[in-house]
Amino acid sequence: MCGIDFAAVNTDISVSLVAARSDTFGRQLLEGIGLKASSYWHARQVSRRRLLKGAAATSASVAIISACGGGDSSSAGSSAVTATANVPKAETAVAKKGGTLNLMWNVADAQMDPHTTTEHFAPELWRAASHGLLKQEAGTQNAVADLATKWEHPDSLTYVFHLDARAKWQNTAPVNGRAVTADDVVYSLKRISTPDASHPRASGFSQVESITVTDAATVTLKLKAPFVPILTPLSDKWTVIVPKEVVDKFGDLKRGDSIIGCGPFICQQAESSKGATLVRNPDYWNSQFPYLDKVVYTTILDADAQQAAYRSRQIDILAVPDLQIDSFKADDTVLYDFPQTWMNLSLIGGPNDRAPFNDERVRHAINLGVDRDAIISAAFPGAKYKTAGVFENEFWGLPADEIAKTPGYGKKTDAEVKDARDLISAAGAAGTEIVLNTTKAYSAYHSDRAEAMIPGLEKIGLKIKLNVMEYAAFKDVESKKQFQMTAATYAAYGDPDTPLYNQFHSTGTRNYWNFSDPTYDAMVTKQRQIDDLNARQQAIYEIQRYLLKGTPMAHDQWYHRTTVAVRKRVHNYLGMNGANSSTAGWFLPGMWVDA
Amino acid sequence: MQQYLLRRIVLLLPTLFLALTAAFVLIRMIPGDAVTVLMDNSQYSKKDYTDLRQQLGIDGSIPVQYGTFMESIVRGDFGKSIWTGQPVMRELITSRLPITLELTFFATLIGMVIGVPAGVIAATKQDSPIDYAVRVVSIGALATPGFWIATLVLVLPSYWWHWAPPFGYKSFVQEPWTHIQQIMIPALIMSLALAAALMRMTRSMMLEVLRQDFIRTARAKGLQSRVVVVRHCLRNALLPVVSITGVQVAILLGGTVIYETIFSLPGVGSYLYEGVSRRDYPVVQGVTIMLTVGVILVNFVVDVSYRLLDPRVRY
Repeated sequence: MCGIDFAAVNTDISVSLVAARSDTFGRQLLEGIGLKASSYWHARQVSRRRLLKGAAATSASVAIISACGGGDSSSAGSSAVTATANVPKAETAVAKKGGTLNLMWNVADAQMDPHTTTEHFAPELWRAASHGLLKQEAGTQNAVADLATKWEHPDSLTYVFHLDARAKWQNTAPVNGRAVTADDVVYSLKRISTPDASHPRASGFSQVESITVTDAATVTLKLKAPFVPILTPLSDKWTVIVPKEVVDKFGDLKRGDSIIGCGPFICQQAESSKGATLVRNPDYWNSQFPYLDKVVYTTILDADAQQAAYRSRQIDILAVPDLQIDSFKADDTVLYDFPQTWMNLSLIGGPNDRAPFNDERVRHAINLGVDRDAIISAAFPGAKYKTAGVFENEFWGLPADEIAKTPGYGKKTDAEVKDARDLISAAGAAGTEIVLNTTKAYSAYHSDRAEAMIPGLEKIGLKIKLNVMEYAAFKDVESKKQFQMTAATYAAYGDPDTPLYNQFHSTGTRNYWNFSDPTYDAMVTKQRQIDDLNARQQAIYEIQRYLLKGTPMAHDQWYHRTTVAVRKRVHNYLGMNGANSSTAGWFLPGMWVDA
Repeated sequence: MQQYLLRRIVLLLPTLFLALTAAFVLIRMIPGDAVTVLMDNSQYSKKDYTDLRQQLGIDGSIPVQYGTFMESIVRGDFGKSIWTGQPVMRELITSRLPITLELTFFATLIGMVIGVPAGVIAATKQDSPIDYAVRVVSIGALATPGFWIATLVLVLPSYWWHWAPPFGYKSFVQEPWTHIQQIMIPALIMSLALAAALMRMTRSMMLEVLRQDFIRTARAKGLQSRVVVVRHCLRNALLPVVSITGVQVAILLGGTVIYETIFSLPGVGSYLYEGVSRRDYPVVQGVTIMLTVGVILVNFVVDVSYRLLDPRVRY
C-alpha cells in the first residue's frame, strides 16, 4: 500500500514508534494502543479511535511520535531511494538538561503572527513558545495530541477536544501564568478562521459550523458537513493557541515581543532578519521539558553561507544538497534521510479550455514526451529517486511500481516518443510554438526543471520557448490565467485534500488550468467523508489514477530523500527544525545536546 | 559659499521628487503585487484578493495611489511594510541604516587608505616592479566580481579550517569582536574595487601633475621629494580622485544588496532586496528615498571638499 518499502530498507526502524519527549511515555503510549515493537506503517492499521483511546489511557499530556520506517509487503518498494536511508529515531538514552541548540533560518522580513501569515518562521517559534490544540507527528504529519490530550469524534460532524488541565501561560504580563482555558482555544481558532483576506488560513476552516466552549477544559467543534481533513488545519503549525490579552495589548502578533505562549520556551527576542532566541520557560507546566536551556536561530540567507555556518560549527542542523552529501561526512556529524512529507503538486501543462491544451491528445503527448529522469537530474542533481505520480508523499502517493508501469512515467522508450509525436500530429499541433513559463524562485529549482523538459517536448514536435520569470511576475500571470504553458511546483502540507481540491476541483482557487470534471469533483468530495484511514488512502489513490489517466496536467514528482546534517552532540532530532522546516518548533522540547 | 549651499539644498528637492516618482512608478510597472505573493500559499477567493488589495491601499488607479503616496511623504509618513507591518522609516533608521552606513563607510575608508597611497607610489616609481605590481593588482581587483570573492571567503576557510565569519548580526555594544569581524570582512571585500579604481585614477593623475612645470620648479627650489609629492602634486591630483570616490560610494551603497545577503547582515540592501522580491512597495519607496538622500549628501560633501583641496575653486 505504501509507495516505498521501508522494511526492505532499514531493519532498525522496526522499533520506531516511540514517543520523543519521554521514552517512558513512549512505551506507555505504545502499550496503551496495543503496540510494542511495531513499525509506523503497521501502526497505521490500528484505527484512529483505538489510537486515541490508547493515548487517553496513558493520561499523557503531549506526544510526539516518531514516524519512521516499516513497510507494507503488498507494495513493491523503491529500494534505490532508501537503501542507505538513515531515518532519525526517538532516542532512548537519558536526556540531559542544559545547553544551547544553534539553528538557522533562511528568510528575512517575515512577521510573527502565526494566524495571519503563510510563512514558516512565526509558527516555528510559536510552536516552541506555545502549543496548538493538536500537532503533527514526524514523517507523516498525522494529527496527534498537543494541548488537547485526547479527542472524540462521536459523529461525523462533531469533534470534542479535552484540554490538558495543567496547562498555563508563561509567567509574563499580561497573562501572568494563568491557566489555559477552553476560551483561549475558541478565541484562537476563531481568530485563525476569521473569514477575511488578512487571515490566509481561514479557508481551511470553511467547513466549520461552530467552535464552542463546553466547559473550562473542553472544546466542541461542529462541522457543516463531514470533513475528515479538518484535523490537518487543526494540527498544522500555524494553528497556535494564543492569549487574547496579548493580542489586545499589541494590537496584533506581528512583533517578536508578542510571542507569549504556554509552551516550554520563552521567546527572548525574534526578528526574522536577524534570528531569534528562545530560552527555557522555568515555570513550564510539564516540568520534564524542555531539556535545552536555549535555542538560537540565526538568519542566514545565502546557501553557501549556510553551509559555511554548519562547517564552522555555528549551526547544528542543515539540509544538505545531494551533490554535497559526501563533503558533509564528518566525525561530528550524522546524516539523516527524510522522506518527503509535503503534499506538493508539480505540474506541467496549460489551461485545458484553450488551445493547444484543450485537445486531450496534446496533453497526453506532453505527458508521454517529457523525460522525467532528465528532469530530476536537473532538479535534484545527485539524488537517488523513484518516479512518483501525483504526490511525492510516501503514504498518500501511488506505489512506485505502479507508477513505473503508467504510460509516460517509466523509463522513456522510443515507442512512447513516437506515440507522443503521432498524437501531436493528429492534433495538428506539430511545430506549434508554445511559451513555457517558469520562475527562478527556489534556487532555480523550477527553471532547471523546465529547461530539462524542453528536449523531450521538442522531440515530439512542439516548439518550446522558455520564459523564465521573476517569482511575483510568474505568480501574477498565473493567478490571472494569462499563460500558455507552465511548469511549477505548488506547496501543500499535511493532507491530500487541499492540493487535490484547490488545484483540480472546478471551484478550486488554484485551478489555473480551468479543469472542470464533475466525476473528479465528486471523487474529491467523497474522500472528505471517509473516516477510515486506509479506505481514504485507497480513495486518494483512485483520484490520482483518474488524474494520471485523464491528464489535465502532466506530473513530475519523485520519491526521494532530503539529507539533513545534524551535529552528533544533538539528540532526539526528529524533524526538520530550522530552515526548510516542514514541521515546526514542536520537536524542540524533546531535543537535548551534549555539553 | 552660502549661496551655493542654498542652491544645492533647493536642487535637492526636485532630485528627491524625481527619485520618489521613479521608485513609485517603476516598482508598479513590474508585473505582480504584494497580494499575489502574500496569498500564494493560501486558499484565497477573488474577494479576498480584492479586499486585501483594498486594505493595503494598492487597489486604486496609479494616479490616485501616487497622490496618496505623495501626501503621506509630505506628512513624513513613509508607510508600513506590507509583510511585517512595521513602520518603514523606523525600521530603516533604527535598525537597517546604521549597518549599511557602517559597512559603506569602512569600505570607502579602506578603499581610500589602500588605493590612494598605492597610486602615489606607483606614479612616483613609474615602470618599476612596484608600479607593475600595483597595476596588475588593480586590474585584477576590478576584473574579479566582488560577490565571487565574498563567496570564496565564506566557503574556503569553512572547508579548510572550519572557520567562517560569525553569522547572526551583533552590534558593537553587544559583542565588539563579533561585530568587527561581521563588518570588516565584507567591508574589505567591498573596498577592493574602489581601491583598484582609486589606485588607477591616482596614478594617472599623479603622473600628469608630476610632469607639470610647477613641480619642476618645486624640485628646483630644493624641496624634499616627499613635500613635492604630498603637498604640491597629490593635492592637485586629488580633485578627480575625490570625484571618483563620490561616484563609487553610490555604487558601494547599491552593492550592499549583494554583500549584506551573502554575509547575512540585516542592512538596507537586504531590506531592499526582500522588498522588491515581495513587491513591498512602502519598503522599496522608503529605501529609495534613503539611498537617494545618501547619494546626494555624499556628492554634496564631495563638491564642498573641492574648495578645501583647491582654494581656486569658486562655486
